Formats: sequence, structure tokens, C-alpha cells
Amino acid sequence: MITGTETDNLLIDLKRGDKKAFTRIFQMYNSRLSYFAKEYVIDSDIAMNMVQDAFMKLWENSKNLKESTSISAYLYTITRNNCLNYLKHQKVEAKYHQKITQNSLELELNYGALKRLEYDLYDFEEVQKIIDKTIQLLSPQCKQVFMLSRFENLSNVEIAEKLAISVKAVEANITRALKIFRIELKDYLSLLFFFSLPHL
Amino acid sequence: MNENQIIEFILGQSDSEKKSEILAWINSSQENRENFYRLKNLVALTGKIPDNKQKSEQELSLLLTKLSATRKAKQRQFILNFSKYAAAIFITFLIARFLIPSQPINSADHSWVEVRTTSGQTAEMTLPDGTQVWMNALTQIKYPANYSASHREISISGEAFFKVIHNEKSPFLVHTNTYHIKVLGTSFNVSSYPNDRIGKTTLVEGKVVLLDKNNKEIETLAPGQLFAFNTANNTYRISEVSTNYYTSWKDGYFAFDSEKLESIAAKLERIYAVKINIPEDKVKNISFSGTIMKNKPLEQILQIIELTAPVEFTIVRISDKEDQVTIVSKKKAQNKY
Repeated sequence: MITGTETDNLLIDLKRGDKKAFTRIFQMYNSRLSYFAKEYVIDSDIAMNMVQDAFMKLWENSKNLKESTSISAYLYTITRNNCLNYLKHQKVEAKYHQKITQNSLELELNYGALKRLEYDLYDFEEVQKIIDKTIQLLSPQCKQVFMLSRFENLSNVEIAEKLAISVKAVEANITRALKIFRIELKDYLSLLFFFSLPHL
Repeated sequence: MNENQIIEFILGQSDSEKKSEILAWINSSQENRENFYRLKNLVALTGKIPDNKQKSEQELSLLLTKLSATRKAKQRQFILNFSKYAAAIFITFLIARFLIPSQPINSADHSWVEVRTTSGQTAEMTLPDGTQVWMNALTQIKYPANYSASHREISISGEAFFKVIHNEKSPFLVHTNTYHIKVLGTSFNVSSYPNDRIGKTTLVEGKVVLLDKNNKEIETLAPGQLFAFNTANNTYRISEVSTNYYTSWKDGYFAFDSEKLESIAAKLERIYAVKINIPEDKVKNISFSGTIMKNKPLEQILQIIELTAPVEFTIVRISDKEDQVTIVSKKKAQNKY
């Protein structure tokens, strides 16, 4: 769990050019940002570059950051913009070569999805807080399944084997967890949410 | 197309044939596309890559190499005066200390100091011995004017969270209408609203002793325990709980764990100064788990409830200051949760 005071102090140290603070920030956010980027750009090396660029911008601009800056929001926003630019480029390229593949279709959809995530800097921090809190609210099994799926990248079959439960039960737990997250994060996942949920 | 199939697709667990099927489904309507976008963003925001120390260190050193290459080009001075920040923090702290006592304080008589919050208001104050008190809406706290580190007692009607400064020599006493709480140094939550049948004390850390009206010891609580006193028949029960559900209000959100709508409504009434009317028992007994941010408009919170249960609400203005909300079951049970 990342506490407010810790990030406040990190920002102060970062603004002084403290490399230790920068390293700590990297360790805090790198795996989440990489996952986030990879969800959209698919290729993990490209995702890493998008994220590394965000960290570089953070370091290069650290002196000019306002005291009110949220580090995670800053990093997410740059990563998002980097991914959007990349996906836009891919889109143009696919069109030019008239090569429609599963992959290009998926990237195009990802571009649409990422464009939907239009919140301001502050909200990213909020989202992280809500996620941290919400994980603690899940029932023990639901939490375990969710973490194996989302943080360890195990497939449903692997989780079922590991926990000696049925694949159906794994699916049910993931759906349940995402449902709870969806409610918690409703404000950040577009307004359409309200109207379309019951149809799923 | 069911939700699990879309999630599996997003998690990269579908085979090529399934993928085509899902891609076709997504592209078949704007609504499907929106559904996919939501799930996709949800998945992207809630995951992280597996912890791999070696890989993470490699990435870090790559990053640092890239940085030193660009940094040489634009040598910058990152000298910032730390004391400037220290001073700013200190001043903020001082202002906060001065402002807090100016929360509505009415001296009811000469010997007691009274602090009240109205509906929708929460307040934080520090007592003369340094003990911190977070007051929830519609709460009244009284303490003697001669309250000091060696004489610590308060009485409460409503709900508050206490972080009591440790003092072996002088116990901190909390009086509710029906029982008393004696502590040395600890943090705990007390809920004792006049209209609630059950008064509750939840211990987060330390130790508290509960006393009955005649100051006879009833029980000692351990951290994570909830003492629920039924004022109707003067009985009580102790249970192990996740304290977060009882203290989250002070951090600006509510966490519910299978809490009945009736009880959630009582909390919302205090915060938003509304009357919430639930005519049907089956609706009263619907239970919810989840988190609600408190700074959101009431309507948004009601919409979340509407979204997750087969109910609908209406809001009617009944006077200048008060709205009445009615929650009823949905006529057509089209919602499957």
C-alpha cells in the first residue's frame, strides 16, 4: 500500500534530484505501468519503452514539478499518451498497407478503449487508491484468485489447479471481483456504464 | 457473448478461432464496443506484471543508463531548499491547530465544553491532552472545561473515532447513554446515535475496558473486536470484525460488508440531510458490499445502489431544506443481480 505521506516525501526528494527517491518511485510503479501499457500495445518490449519514456520525463522535469503533482498520475498520463501515439501510428500504417489482421483489429480496439480513459491527472491517483482499498474488500478466495490472475498472470486453468477448485469457480471469482471493481471505479470508466451493465 | 469470454479474450486466453468470434461480436454494435472498452480499461487499470526482481533491476539499470546519457547533455541543478518545504508544512500545521477549535463550540454551561457537527458535516479536533477526535455527522461531544492530561473524560452522542494519547496514570473515559468506555492509549470507534437501537464500539488497536451504567466492568476488548450493545434490552455481543468497515467514514469513504440497505440508508440520511423511505421489507434487507466515496453527490450514490440491486429511487423535495428519497423494488426484474 502506498501512503500519501510517503509519496509526498518522495516528491520533495525527487525535486531535489535524489536518485534514491527516483529508484523507489520506479519500483513502486513500474510493474503496474508496464501491465497497463502492455494491455494496449500488446508487445511487451514496446510497452517497456512507453513506460521508460514516462520515467525519463518525470526525472527530466522533476525540478519543475508542482508540489501538488501526483507522481502516479503524471506517470500514467505520459504512458497513456505514449501508447495512444503508438497505436495511432499503427492504425495509419495498417490502413496504408491495407493489412487487416486479428492483431491490427485488436490494436484498433485498444486505441478506442484507451482514448476513453480521459481523466485528469488527479484521478489516476484516486483510481490507484480505490484499487488498493477494493482489493482488501474482496473475500479471501476471491482476492486470491484475482491476484493470481491479475498480478501473477496465471491462466484460469492454472489457478484452478493451484487452488484445487473448478475452472468455473475461478471464472466466477474473477467476474465477481471485476464487478466490484467496476462499481468502485464507475466514475472513471465512462458514463455509459450506468446503462449498459445489466445487459452483460 | 458472455462476460467471461470477453475477459478471457482481454487476458489473452482465447484461441484464434474464439478471438475472431469475439472481434466480430465487438464490432457488430456500438454498444458491444462500449462494453468491451469498459472491461478492457478495467483490466488494464487493475493488473500488474508478475514480480520479477531480476527483470525489474535490468529495466531500472537500462533506464538509468538512458538518463545519464541525456543528463550530461543538459546539466541541470536540482538544488532545492528543503527548509522552505519544512517551513511550509509547519505553517500549515499551525494554522490547522488554530482553526480546529473554531469549529462550532457552544459552552452549554460553565463546566462543559460542547462540540457539535450538523448533518453532512464531519470534523476533526484535538483535545487539550493531544487526543485526536474525528466526529461524524450529527454528533455531539462534551468535555469538562477543566479537561487536562490528568483528568480525561468526555461524553458522546453520535459517532466518533478516537486516537487517545497514551497515559498510564490517567485513563481516558468515554460516556455513552448506555455504557462507558475506559482506555489508556489506543484508537477506537464509538457509534451511539440516539435513534440507533445498537450502540457500537470497535477497537482498532490497544485495549479498552467497557463498563456498565454503574461503572461495573463488563468486558475487555481486543483489537479487531466489535462490542455491540442493544439498548432495547441491555444485552450485548462481541464479534471479530474487519475494523475498516467501521472506521472508513473518517477517511471520506464508506466500506460495507454485506450491510443491509436499511442501515446504509440511516448513514446516508445523516450525511446528506435527507429522509430515506424504504416501504418494502425485502428492499430494506438487501445487503451490499463495496465502497462509496463520501464526497460524491447523493444521487450518484443512489445510482450505484440502483445499478447493483433490482431497486429504483425517486427524490422529492419536501421542504426548503429537506429532500425525501424513496427506494422501491423494480417492477420488472430485468436485472439479474
